[in-house]
Amino acid sequence: MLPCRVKLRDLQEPMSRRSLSEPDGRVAGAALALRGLAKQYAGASVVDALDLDVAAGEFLTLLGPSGSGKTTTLMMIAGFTPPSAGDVVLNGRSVTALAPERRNIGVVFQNYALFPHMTVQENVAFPLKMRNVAKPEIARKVTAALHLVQLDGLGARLPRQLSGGQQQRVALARALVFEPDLLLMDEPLGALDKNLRSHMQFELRRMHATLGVTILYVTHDQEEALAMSDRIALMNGGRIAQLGSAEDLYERPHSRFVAEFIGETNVIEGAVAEPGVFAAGGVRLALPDRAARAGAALLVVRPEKLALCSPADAPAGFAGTVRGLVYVGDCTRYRVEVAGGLLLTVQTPNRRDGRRAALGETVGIALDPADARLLPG
Amino acid sequence: MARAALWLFGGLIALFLVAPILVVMVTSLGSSSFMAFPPRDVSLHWYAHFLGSPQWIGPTLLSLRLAASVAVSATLLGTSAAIGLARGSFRGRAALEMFLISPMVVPVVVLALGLYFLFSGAHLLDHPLALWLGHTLLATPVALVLVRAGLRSTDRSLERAARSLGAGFWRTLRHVTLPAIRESVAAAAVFSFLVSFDEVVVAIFVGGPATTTLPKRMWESVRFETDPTLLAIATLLTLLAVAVLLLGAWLRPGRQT
Ligand SMILES: Nc1ncnc2c1ncn2[C@@H]1O[C@H](COP(=O)(O)OP(=O)(O)OP(=O)(O)O)[C@@H](O)[C@H]1O
Ligand SMILES: [Mg+2]
Repeated sequence: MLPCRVKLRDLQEPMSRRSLSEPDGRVAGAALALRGLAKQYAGASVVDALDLDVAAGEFLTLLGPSGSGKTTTLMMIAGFTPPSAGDVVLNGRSVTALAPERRNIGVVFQNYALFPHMTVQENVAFPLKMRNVAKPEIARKVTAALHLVQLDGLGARLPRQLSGGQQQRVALARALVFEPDLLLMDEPLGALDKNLRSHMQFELRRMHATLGVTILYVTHDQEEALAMSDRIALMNGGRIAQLGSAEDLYERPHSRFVAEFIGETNVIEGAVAEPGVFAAGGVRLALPDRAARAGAALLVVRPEKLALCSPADAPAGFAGTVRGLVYVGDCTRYRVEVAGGLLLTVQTPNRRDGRRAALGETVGIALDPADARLLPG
Repeated sequence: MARAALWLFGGLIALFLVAPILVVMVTSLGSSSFMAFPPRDVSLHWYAHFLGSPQWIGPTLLSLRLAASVAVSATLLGTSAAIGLARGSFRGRAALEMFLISPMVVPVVVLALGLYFLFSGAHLLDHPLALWLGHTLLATPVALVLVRAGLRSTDRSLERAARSLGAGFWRTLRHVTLPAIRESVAAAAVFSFLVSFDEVVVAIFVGGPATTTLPKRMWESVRFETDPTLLAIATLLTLLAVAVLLLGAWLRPGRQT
C-alpha cells in the first residue's frame, strides 16, 4: 500500500519559517550530534556507539522494531538516562553533563504527561514560569501557543476534560512554547485512532514547517516515518541500520533488514556465478551492474516493480503459476510460484487496460533489472 | 436460605465486634459513680466531669499537642525518606528501606525499653521531648510506607516532563511530585497523629508524672480507680477515630471528578 500513498508534505503550501515570538525568518532549531553514544544495562548493549548528525531545522525520525533502543536514545538526549559512553552535542556544545532542565530540549511523551492538577493554561505556562518570564509575556505566549495547536479558548480546562487528540496538542504546545532548541517526540501519536493520527501527522508537519524547530521523532510505524520525515534513521539492535531519506530507504536498502522492514519486498537468495548474472534455482537475470562481485547474493525487488506478462516475454525462470491473489482496491497482489518453487509477490495497479490473471493461470513476470537491488548474501 | 444464613452469621460477628463499644457508649451516659448497664438515667454528667477536671484535661491537651507535633515530624521525615528511596539510585537502597521501616516490626516493648535506657542516660525521662522522639520513631515508618505507595503509583514521566520544561529537582518536587502525592502525604499525617495519640507503651516507659499522656492516664485510671469518666473519654476517642476515618475517605484520591 505504501506506493499508493501520497506524501503529506507534498500537499502543504510553502510557508515562511518563523518562531513563536519573532515573526521574522529565524530558524529556531539547533543542530544535534550524537558521538559514540552508548548505553549498557547489566553488560547488555542496548544502544551501541551511535553516531548521528541532525541538521538544524531537520525532521529526523528514529524508526525501528520494538526494543531497538529508540526510547533509550531519546532519554539519553533529554538527559534522563546517563549514557555509558559518548557525547550529546547541541549546537556544537556538549550537553552530556547538563541536567535535563538546563538543556532547553522539549519532550513530548507517548502518554502526554500533562500535569493533572493544572489547567491547560497552567500546563503551557509552566516552562515559561520556570524561566521567570514576566506575566504579561507568559499570557501572550500561551495564547499564541494554544492558537498554534488550534486549542483557542480551552485554556481553563483540566487535562482530563480533553480528548486524547486535544491532550496531545496541549503536550505539543507546552513543549514548543519556550522555543526549545530541539523537540523530542516518543511515539506521540501512538495512542490516537487512525484518522486522528493522520490528521496530527499533517499538523506536525505544518508546525515544523512554520517554526523551523529541529525534531527528533521516534516511531515504529514505518508509514508514519515515511510520510513525515526529512530523513529516517532505521535502528536495529541499538545501531543505525541505514540513514537516509524515505526514498533512499525504500528504493535503495543497504541490507536485507532494511529491505524487509520498510514496505513489502521479494528477497531471492542466490549467487552471482558469472559476471553480471544473478542466478537462483531456475531464475537467471542479467544485471545492469556488470561489476557485481561473484559469490552469494540476494536479489531484492519490490512487488510493485514487477508486472504480469506473457510467459514468453519473461526473463529466464520468471514464469510460473498464480498460487494466490488478493484484491486490495487500488491494486491486486499475486503470489506466483516460479521455477524452483520460489514464491514471488507481484503487485499490479487495477487499471482497465492492466493485465489480469486468474488463480492457477500460467503467467510471466516482467522485471526491469534496474529496479532490482543486489545485496551481498 | 444460604444467603440468609450468611447475613445472620455476618451480622452476629459485626455485633460481637461492635457490642463492647456500644456498651461503653451507652454506659457512659449514666450519672452514678458506679458503672451500670443499662444506665439508670441519661445524662452527660461524666462528660462534664471530664471537661471540668484538670487531671484529665492536662493529659488530653498534652496528647493532642504531642500527636500534632508527631504528625508534622513523622510526615516530614517519612515523606523525605520515601522520595529519596523512590527517586534516588544508590547502593544498598533496598537494605536502607528495610532498616527504615523496621520499627514497625520490632515489638513495641523492646523499642520502649531501649528508649527508656537511652533517655535515662540523657536525663530526658519524663520530658515531652522524649515522648516526641519516641512517637516520631514509631510513626515515621507508617508515614514512609504510605508515601512510598503513593509515589509508586504516580507516573514518572510527569517528573521527567517537568525537568525537560526547565524545573530543577526542587521545583519539580514542589510543583509536580508533591501535588501528585498530596493524598498520601495527608494520609501519612493523619495516621502519624493517630499512632501518637493512641500510644501507651512508650508513654509508660519514658513518661512520668510531669508527662502523662491521655492513654497513660486512662491506663492508670483503670488500674488504681474505677472512674466512669473513663467511659466518657473512651466514647469521645471512638468518635474521634470515626471522624478521622471519614476524613481519610474524603481525602481519597479519585473522589473529586
Ligand atoms: N532500565 C532498563 N534496564 C534494563 N534494560 C532496559 C532498561 N530500559 C530499556 N532496557 C532494554 O533496552 C532495550 C531497548 O529499549 P528501548 O525502550 O530503548 O526500545 P524501543 O526501541 O524504544 O522499543 P519500543 O518500540 O518497544 O518502545 C530493550 O531490550 C529493553 O528491554
Ligand atoms: Mg520506546
